[in-house]
Amino acid sequence: MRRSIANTLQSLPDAELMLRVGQGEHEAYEVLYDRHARRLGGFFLRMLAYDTAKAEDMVQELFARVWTHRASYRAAQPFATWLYAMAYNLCKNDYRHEEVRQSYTAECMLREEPTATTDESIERRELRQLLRQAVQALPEAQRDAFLLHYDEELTVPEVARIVGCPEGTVKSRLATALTTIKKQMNAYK
Amino acid sequence: MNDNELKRIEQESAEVLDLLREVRDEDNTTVRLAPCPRPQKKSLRISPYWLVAASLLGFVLGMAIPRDNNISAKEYTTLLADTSVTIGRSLAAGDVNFALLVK
Repeated sequence: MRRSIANTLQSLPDAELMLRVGQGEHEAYEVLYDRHARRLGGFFLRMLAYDTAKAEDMVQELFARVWTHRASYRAAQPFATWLYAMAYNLCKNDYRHEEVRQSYTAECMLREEPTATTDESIERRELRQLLRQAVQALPEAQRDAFLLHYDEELTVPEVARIVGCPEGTVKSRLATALTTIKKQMNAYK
Repeated sequence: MNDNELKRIEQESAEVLDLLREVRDEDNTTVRLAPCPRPQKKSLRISPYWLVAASLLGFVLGMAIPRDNNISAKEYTTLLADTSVTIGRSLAAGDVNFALLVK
């Protein structure tokens, strides 16, 4: 019985699940958690300069808030925008930008990566590290828009709504960020 | 900034965006996820207004109940003020060792 309920819930879209969460249905909440937690963990990781412990805590904090504020969700609003807006605000509240950023380079180098076996994979690994550093080195506003749009695949209007600025500004931040990163990657090659 | 310009930059940076997806997928597996948080049971919350009201009620009842050593409200207030000043002076002079109070 419980399994069939879970299967039914799995097939439902996020908005429908969230409406059920609003009615206090915990199974729907668990399905949403399973569906989004990992991706949000990655988002927090990048937003908080690769502080793994913090990112793990933030996922818990975010979903606790989802439950607490479940009544504030409106079906007309895309679930992803609502969720990422909450996640983004959590990061903003918690930011320890400068100190975390300063420690980033060293921490990033210490991160354990899968062992590379060929020259190509070594180079690829170095490129990934370089890209991480380049993204973290972006100005805050550019980096936020960049991560929300390219990593989390939110549309420009959604990003504009989350960060609270006009769409044109988001587009120009994206273009500047992308150009900067591309230049840095080309310089490395 | 128009859409076409951004699209052009994205096309020129296709390689970077591919690498970015690789980084994202790798990062997403780095975080250790705890089980889904259980909703917290509603705890009993007492409003500060209720606390003040209960204190006032206690004061009024305390004053209303007759006792052998009843004192007037004025005497009580004076006593309370004197005691507070004495305690305050002791604290300011460092007469109280908090380290002994907290274990």
